[in-house]
Amino acid sequence: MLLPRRYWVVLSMVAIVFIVGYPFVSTPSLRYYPSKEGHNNNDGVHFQWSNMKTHYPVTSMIPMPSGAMKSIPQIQHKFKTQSKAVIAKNTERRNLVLGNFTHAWEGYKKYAWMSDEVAPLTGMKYNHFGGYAATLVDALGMSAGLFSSYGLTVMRDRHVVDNAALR
Amino acid sequence: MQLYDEFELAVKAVEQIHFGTCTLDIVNVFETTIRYLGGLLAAHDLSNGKYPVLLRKAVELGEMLYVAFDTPNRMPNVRWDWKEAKAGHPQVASAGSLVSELGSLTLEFTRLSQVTGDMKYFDAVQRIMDQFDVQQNLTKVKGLWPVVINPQDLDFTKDNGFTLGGMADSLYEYLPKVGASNCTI
Repeated sequence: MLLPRRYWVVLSMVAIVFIVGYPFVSTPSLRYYPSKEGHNNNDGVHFQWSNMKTHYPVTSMIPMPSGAMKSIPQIQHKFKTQSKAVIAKNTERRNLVLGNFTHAWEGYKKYAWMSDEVAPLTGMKYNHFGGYAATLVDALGMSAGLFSSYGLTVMRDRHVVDNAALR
Repeated sequence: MQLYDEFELAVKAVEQIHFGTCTLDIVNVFETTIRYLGGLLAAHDLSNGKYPVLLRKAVELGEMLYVAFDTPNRMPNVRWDWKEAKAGHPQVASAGSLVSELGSLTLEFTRLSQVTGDMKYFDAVQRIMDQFDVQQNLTKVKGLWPVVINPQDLDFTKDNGFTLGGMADSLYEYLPKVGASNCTI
């Protein structure tokens, strides 16, 4: 299943919460749930893939292109200035999404910290993506974008998020 | 916002992730690239490089995935037997691959080269895209590539199935994004 990457975590978390029928807005606690059982053995900790012998070495590197790109026409909708009512509605919805995200994040921390996924009903932990804390890492980019002042500035400057949505 | 602290907590935990082993017998190179390498690099960029562990772990993972490219024609084995590779056994590219799994590695590998200055990651994926380029108009729907391709024989033309949806979409998504990322950084 090839889902759009950056939305995978958000969408699945939102879906999980609504399926369970238990939507609520929570404030994230700062409690830390340490993992009792690390799945990585010592071999995995100390092994470095960069030390592997290469069987079929590259003999000449392809250089990275440089210079200006041909412009691509914008296909995204251009939104007009939003009314106060629309902004208020969007803010409310945004906070619900955020609440779902933090709810799912708390569940991940409590039940499956450092595992790939938490099962929403049983609280079981799953490692179907290799066991490198997939939920944590997959959410990192979005967290950095939304939850740090630098990230927010970049997201706003690149029009990833709407100015109005940040008020 | 209090979630700053949650981000810092997650970044600290990244230190505990080690790529020397795996819970799966077979690594899906595409999934591992887009979720883990993408997550680490995006966080590195969006935190302005403030947390060195993010790039360090991205490089460790990049080194792991790069081993999947160690085949006679330098096409990766996209369903990678990491234990065989770790044991030092020679590998070959996959004989059958979903088109997205081969064609949607460029964004993360290109960015990894840009932030580390090590061009081998870009080189690895550009070799793939050169093949896509050569074969684009030799397929049964010229301009598109079929869902299933053969990296081992470098034949992307035989399959009859075409789609812009699942199993192919990220290939077409990545093309303009990588084009843009090569020029704006």
